[in-house]
Amino acid sequence: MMQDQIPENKRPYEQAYFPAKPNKFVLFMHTFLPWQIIRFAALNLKIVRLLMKGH
Amino acid sequence: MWISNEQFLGDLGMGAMHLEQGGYTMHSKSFAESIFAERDIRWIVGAHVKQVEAGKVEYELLDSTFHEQSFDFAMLIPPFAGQEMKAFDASGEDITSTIFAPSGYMKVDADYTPKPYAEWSADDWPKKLQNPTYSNMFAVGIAFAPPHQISQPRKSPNDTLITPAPPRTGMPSATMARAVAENIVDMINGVSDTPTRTASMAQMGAACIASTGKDFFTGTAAAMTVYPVVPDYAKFPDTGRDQSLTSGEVGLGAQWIKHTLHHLFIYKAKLKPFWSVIPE
Ligand SMILES: Cc1cc2nc3c(=O)[nH]c(=O)nc-3n(C[C@H](O)[C@H](O)[C@H](O)COP(=O)(O)OP(=O)(O)OC[C@H]3O[C@@H](n4cnc5c(N)ncnc54)[C@H](O)[C@@H]3O)c2cc1C
Repeated sequence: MMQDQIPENKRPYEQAYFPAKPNKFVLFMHTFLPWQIIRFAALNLKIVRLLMKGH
Repeated sequence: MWISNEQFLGDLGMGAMHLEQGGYTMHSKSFAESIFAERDIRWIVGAHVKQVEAGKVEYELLDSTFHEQSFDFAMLIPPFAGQEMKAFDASGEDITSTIFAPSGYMKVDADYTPKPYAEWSADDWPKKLQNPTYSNMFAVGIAFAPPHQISQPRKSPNDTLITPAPPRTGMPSATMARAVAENIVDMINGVSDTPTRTASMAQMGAACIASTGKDFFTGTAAAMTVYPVVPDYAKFPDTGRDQSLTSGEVGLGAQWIKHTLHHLFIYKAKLKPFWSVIPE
């Protein structure tokens, strides 16, 4: 593909060329209910620990 | 397009943070750039917005070059600013400079000695949020004068300071407010002559949930936790932070937390039964 067919910021050496991008599995896990229920619980726990340290 | 005075994306006004991702301890620059690139948002950093006109914003970069960005819709967040208040003592003498820093924020028990970035320490940050001259004056949240920024300050050759102000988000602001309110109650009731509780931003954490899609089943949010807000390199030499409490992730679970906090805080603001047990 010619470079001018790629959006400008995604071409080689442009800013969006460098960052890590999530693959399909990672994107799927972002909204996969069983995993997100675990993450919800884990995040709540982390926030409670933060509250206990700072108060 | 995202325009920011941060030195890099993910600085967040607190000199960035490190988080665990995929087996690596990663800098928040990588985390933020990944989120922006995934969502096709471009960014201009190290930029100071000079002027906004209909459909056009003008900004200065760190090299003192000036640029323009056109827009159909823009959301601008002005920099934090103190109030232009004047203070006078009982005899009518102007005591503004005793109470307020030149920025308009109230002076509290911070170390305001000007020093270079390399000498900044977590200890510079105020603990009791009490004015050193007038012991019955306190300032919390955005109102207190920070000793300095948290991010490394940078200036353009034109002498324009291009650096984000220290964030004083809801959680730290409310934590300070509670500690100070309880101290004032004790001082009024004669329990103590001086404040006994402390709430330094160098000894407290913060959680920030940024929504990236609000649907209850397909939405996501970026959840970030950090401890302490002001990095303490004496205690945590590697990253300035306790990495077991400093994290960032994107997901639906974080969006549920955003929903939960939304309802909890509105409930609390309405002072409904047991509101006071809801944490800040
Ligand atoms: C767009 C935006 C989004 C944000 N999102 C989040 C978020 O998702 N999570 C989070 O934790 N934080 C968030 N914050 C930050 C959070 O809102 C603030 O940090 C917090 O409200 C600061 O609390 P405060 O009490 O210090 O100041 P404020 O909430 O600003 O309270 C100051 C009060 O003083 C009053 N006042 C000002 N001048 C005078 C005067 N002369 N006389 C009398 N009263 C006066 C003002 O009207 C105001 O009510 C956000 C901020 C903004 C701007």
